[in-house]
Amino acid sequence: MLRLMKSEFIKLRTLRSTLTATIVLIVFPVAVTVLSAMFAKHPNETMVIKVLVNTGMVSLLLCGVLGVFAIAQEYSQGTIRITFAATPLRMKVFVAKALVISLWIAVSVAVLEGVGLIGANYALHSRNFGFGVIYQAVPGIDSAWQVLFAFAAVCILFALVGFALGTLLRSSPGAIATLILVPLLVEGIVTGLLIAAFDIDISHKTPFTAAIRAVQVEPDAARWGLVGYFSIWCLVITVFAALLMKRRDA
Amino acid sequence: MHEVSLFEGLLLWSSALTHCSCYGVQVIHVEHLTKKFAAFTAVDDLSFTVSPGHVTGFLGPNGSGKSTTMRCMIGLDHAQGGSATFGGVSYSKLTQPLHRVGTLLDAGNAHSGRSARNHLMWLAASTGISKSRVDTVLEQVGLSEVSRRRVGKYSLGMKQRLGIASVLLGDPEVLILDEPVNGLDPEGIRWIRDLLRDLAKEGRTVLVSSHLLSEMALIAEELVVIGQGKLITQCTVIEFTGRYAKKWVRVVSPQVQILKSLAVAKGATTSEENGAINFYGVTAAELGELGATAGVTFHELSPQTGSLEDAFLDATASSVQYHGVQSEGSAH
Repeated sequence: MLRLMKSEFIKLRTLRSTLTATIVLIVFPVAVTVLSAMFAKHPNETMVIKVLVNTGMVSLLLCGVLGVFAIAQEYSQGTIRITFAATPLRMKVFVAKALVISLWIAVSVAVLEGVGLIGANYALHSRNFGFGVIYQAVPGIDSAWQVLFAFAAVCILFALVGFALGTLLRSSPGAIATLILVPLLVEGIVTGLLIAAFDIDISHKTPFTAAIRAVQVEPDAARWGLVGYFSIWCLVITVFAALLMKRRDA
Repeated sequence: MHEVSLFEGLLLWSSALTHCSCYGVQVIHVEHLTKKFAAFTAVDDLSFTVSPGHVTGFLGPNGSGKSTTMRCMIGLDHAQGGSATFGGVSYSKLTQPLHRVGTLLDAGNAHSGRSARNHLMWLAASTGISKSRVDTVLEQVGLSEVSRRRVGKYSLGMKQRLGIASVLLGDPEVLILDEPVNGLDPEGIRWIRDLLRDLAKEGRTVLVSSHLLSEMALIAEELVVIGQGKLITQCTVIEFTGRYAKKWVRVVSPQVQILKSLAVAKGATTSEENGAINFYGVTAAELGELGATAGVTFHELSPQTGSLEDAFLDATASSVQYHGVQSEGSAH
């Protein structure tokens, strides 16, 4: 398994598209957060985390895109045939890929959060604001660490959903479009239609909405419940993708 | 004295062990292989055997199921029936398959954004092959100097060489190559011809499909010919041309018209070619005897056999699915 993981790691680190997406994933929220800390007129205690997580929505989608890249490019470029010829046990390939993309995202998000917080902290200190950034995000309810861990978990789950969609659709454009359209459009439309037609509100049950709510800096005791709910969806689609990958012709 | 003989014995034993494990008898057995895509049967109850020690050509018209068969053999496509084994073991059950079976199904199966070296690096890492082996095969296929260039910038011939490098990476006992000479220049074609022959001489099992029949005639000793997914024949190249190629007798003679009328009267047919007459349906001996009785002087009397291409076209005539429109010249 370690050999396979090393192989998958080489695949990820030797592609320009993967590296570019990773750099944007880290740099964009970090830059916006640090700039906010530098120039905000009245920075308050929750501002840094809020900006980091809100601009991190772009990173969240990029995590999904990286998940798609990890597999769909293999299908579009034909390298999946070489991969499966070298390792006929497809489940091992699937697990190795899933583990490597998860670790890749975990490290990237850790860098994003670490650099973002340290940078913002440094900017605030340089403006003589006397507080650090590791503080209560929502005093008395939720700590900043909870938000940051939840954000990292959702990023990894987004990558796995992207990976599963890439496996199912075997096309980068198709999987990326699905990954963007479902949370941004489809879930809202379905929810709206159901409310209008049947007066049924499923907004609290739609998976991507739950994932995004899980990382909001708001008083929400159900943060980890929402992460768990999204994990179940993620698990279902990933298992389905794995079974299909095993069954289909390469 | 005792120590020396023990050492020699160990050497012989280890050498024999190495030889057996590297180039043991790796016969490919394909038995009743069947692959269907919905209602279309791409491979239909196909059985053949590929033995080590020589190059076996895998021939068939476009769409005859050659590539599908190869994909099924290594488990990329799931066959509905039958089996393919390598030394009695199916591909999916081989431990470290890259060391046992090297496959080149499509030279384009490399990410265009990755360098050739990195392409081989991930492949090597997946089975614990060393970095030095990557450099060795890059040297062997002549891509060392451009190994850090992205594959997208490669010509088809260079991609083909990269594909062959990936086949050689694990130093496998069995090689399966689908159209390996596509896109190669004459030097490249000669290189791969010599390489495949040398690999076969080392005792490896080599199965090669190609549309370049003149090339196949030079490389292969044995043929597996399929059409519409079914086996047409498996035999040596000589047997194949002997069985399917046209035979005729070429005659150059000042009295050729006399010979022609005598031969036609005996049921032969003729055609003219650059001052000579080709006789069909009659042997050189019969023509010689006919000529002798009529006092014909022969400047040339030579039996001719059609090429592998002629034989292939004859053998697969009823299996060709996709026909082009023939120009007047070629039809003639």
